[in-house]
Amino acid sequence: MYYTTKKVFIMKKAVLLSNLLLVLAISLHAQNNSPETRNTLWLDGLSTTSKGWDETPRDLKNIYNYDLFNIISLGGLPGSVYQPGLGTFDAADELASHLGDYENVLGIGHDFGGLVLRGMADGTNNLSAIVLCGVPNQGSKGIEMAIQSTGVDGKSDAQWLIEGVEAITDGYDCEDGCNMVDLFSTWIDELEANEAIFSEMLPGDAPGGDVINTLNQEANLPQIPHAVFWGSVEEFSITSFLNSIYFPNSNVDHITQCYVDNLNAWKEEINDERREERWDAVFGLFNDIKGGIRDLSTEGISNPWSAISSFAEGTIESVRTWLNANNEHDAEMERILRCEAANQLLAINWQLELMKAESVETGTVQQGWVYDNTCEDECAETVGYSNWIAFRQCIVDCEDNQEPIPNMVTYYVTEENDGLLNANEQMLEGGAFPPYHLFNTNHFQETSLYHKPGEALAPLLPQAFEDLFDGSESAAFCVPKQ
Amino acid sequence: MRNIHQIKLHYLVCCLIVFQLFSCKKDELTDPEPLEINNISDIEMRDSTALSIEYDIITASYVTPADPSERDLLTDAEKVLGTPKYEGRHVVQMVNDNGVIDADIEMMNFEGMPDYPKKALLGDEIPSAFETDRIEVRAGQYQFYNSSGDKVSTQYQSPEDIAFFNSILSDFREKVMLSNQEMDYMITALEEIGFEAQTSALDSQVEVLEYSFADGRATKLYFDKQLQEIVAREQYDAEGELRFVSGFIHEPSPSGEAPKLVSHHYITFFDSPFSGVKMAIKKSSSIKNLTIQTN
Repeated sequence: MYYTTKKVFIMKKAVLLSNLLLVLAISLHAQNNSPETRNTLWLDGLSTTSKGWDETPRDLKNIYNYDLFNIISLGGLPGSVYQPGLGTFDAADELASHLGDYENVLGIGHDFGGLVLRGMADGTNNLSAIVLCGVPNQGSKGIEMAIQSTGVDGKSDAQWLIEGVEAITDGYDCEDGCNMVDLFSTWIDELEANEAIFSEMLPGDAPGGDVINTLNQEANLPQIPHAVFWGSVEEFSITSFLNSIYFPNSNVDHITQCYVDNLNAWKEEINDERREERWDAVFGLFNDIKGGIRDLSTEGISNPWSAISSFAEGTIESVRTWLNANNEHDAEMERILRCEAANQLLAINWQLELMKAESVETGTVQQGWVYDNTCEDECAETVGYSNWIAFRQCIVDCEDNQEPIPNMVTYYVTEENDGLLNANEQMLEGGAFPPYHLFNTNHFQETSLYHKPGEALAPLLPQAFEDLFDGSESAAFCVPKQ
Repeated sequence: MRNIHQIKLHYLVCCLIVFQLFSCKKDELTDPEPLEINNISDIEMRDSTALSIEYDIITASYVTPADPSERDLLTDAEKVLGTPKYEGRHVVQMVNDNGVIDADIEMMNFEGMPDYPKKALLGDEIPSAFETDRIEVRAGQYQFYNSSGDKVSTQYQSPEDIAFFNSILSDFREKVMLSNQEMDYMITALEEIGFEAQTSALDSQVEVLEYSFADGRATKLYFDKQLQEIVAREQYDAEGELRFVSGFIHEPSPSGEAPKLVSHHYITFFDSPFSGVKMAIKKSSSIKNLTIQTN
């Protein structure tokens, strides 16, 4: 069997053609199924109220394998295109003017960055969807407290709060190295120093709340799909909140640790003092004085009264020393109790301010009669504290006459908040799907891929992005895997 | 010369006087039920242990207007401070013969304590990871543990506390009880020392002893002539304002028995810069179910 040259040529051409067709088919198939890199725009919040996205976009790409491109990065736009200092709308216009080269941009904003995204979300540029994470969509009562001047002296409510707390502790060294009030004061001062930009986060119903008012007008609501991530902490602690501000990259809660160390030291000191005081009341100086008197009376002195003067003279210094020592002990107890109350007032006032947008809710819980404080309150009102015997008798009489019915104690109920924004302030209606809750995450933790809330085994934000980026809720947020 | 057994017996009696058992005043009500203790203490009496004490202590802390009729003047935050916060502890404590203590202290919820929900705003919020669930004291070193068993804090028994225990263990003292005549001698001696003495108009068994310092400050002591001990102390500043109160409350016992210690109270004051109301900071404690052993 042999082939003529012509037939060989035709066969070779056919093989070549079929190979080309095969390559073309494979290429087309690949083109029809290859993911397109998603352009993303990550906008940080203001430095005083946001840690920023930092390495989150990089780690989503390199560790979690999302095929995304951060358009403000090396190879993209310079960082100078995002200028929050211009204000929400001007910063939005500036950024929007640079989007022309990038299609189908997914914007992810934290804090003020989300407001800028909202300023861009009018459907006239290449921004195709936005994620609003910890964004003051309804403004921030906390910011209002921090910067809004009240009264003629121009101080904000937060500055008044700090002054009040410092007045309570004036002359009583409370900081013990933790400087909680100082740290809070420094943060408030930073907010106040940048009042012009932070005023754009004021609630719509506050004087100067123009930006939020404008953004929330019907015509200015996002014209592209939007999603809300909102944070809240189960156990708000002002020390943890401050730690997030001042130690943003630490896994250790230094400020809370310091505060707890102090608190524990104070508690044990109170226990020690109470024990020693009880002992002293029975066996202390006055017991020695009684012993001295007993010795006098058993010595068979015919006129003990004259001996008493000598005895008294010999005891004066001991008594004065004892009185001064008790003064010091009592002053220390006074210091501890005042410092504790002042720190609590700082934390309570801040929490209540965050809840101010809503009515303050109260609840009641049953309390057994044996621990009832109503007798103390009744006696404080009827006899006061400046006669211990009257107070004591009143307490005993009151408790004797009490009915053994458990009474109710009223407590205040906290609204969900992330330490800076309450839940409602972070919401925006019309989202592509229900708001995603970053539980047990404070405002500064909302941008971290590594924050694990409470007892969780895994960080929460990566899961949130996975749910968003897989496109199952809305294709507008789809970010393919590499 | 007393022998060591007599000394220890007297010491036991003295301690029983100092920390007396609490009992309910009403027949139809009883002390809180015995506690469910989650962690059995593993400390035991050793040869070097001089004293073993076990008891429950409940402390209530809250801040209210010194004059409760001014409650309506308070800010919301000040009202929150008025919500009483409770801490209950079960304490097993060994005092060694050098004054250094070993102890196991467990935070407890006692019957009758209010069970606030997590969302309750109380002002003492600490992340649960830092909340003390148990304290172990070994050779004077306090280790604070959270509910997961992680160590959250370390403190040390103060030198003053060690000295205190050293003193009460090594310096034997017996409570002196004076006759009525001797009591009169003592009051006179105290007047000679500089106290102003006045029998309380409300309780003839109590002598109020006031000492005025040169700078205008004053200390007022309440001396119970039946108990023959100081039951309360008040401190006044140079302007005559009451600054601090520390007092023990006893309740009468059936005839023949000494009055029983019920509770202890610390009270101090500050003028609120927010509402202008004079506020009273209160910390009240009661000790219950006390047992004492000597070695």
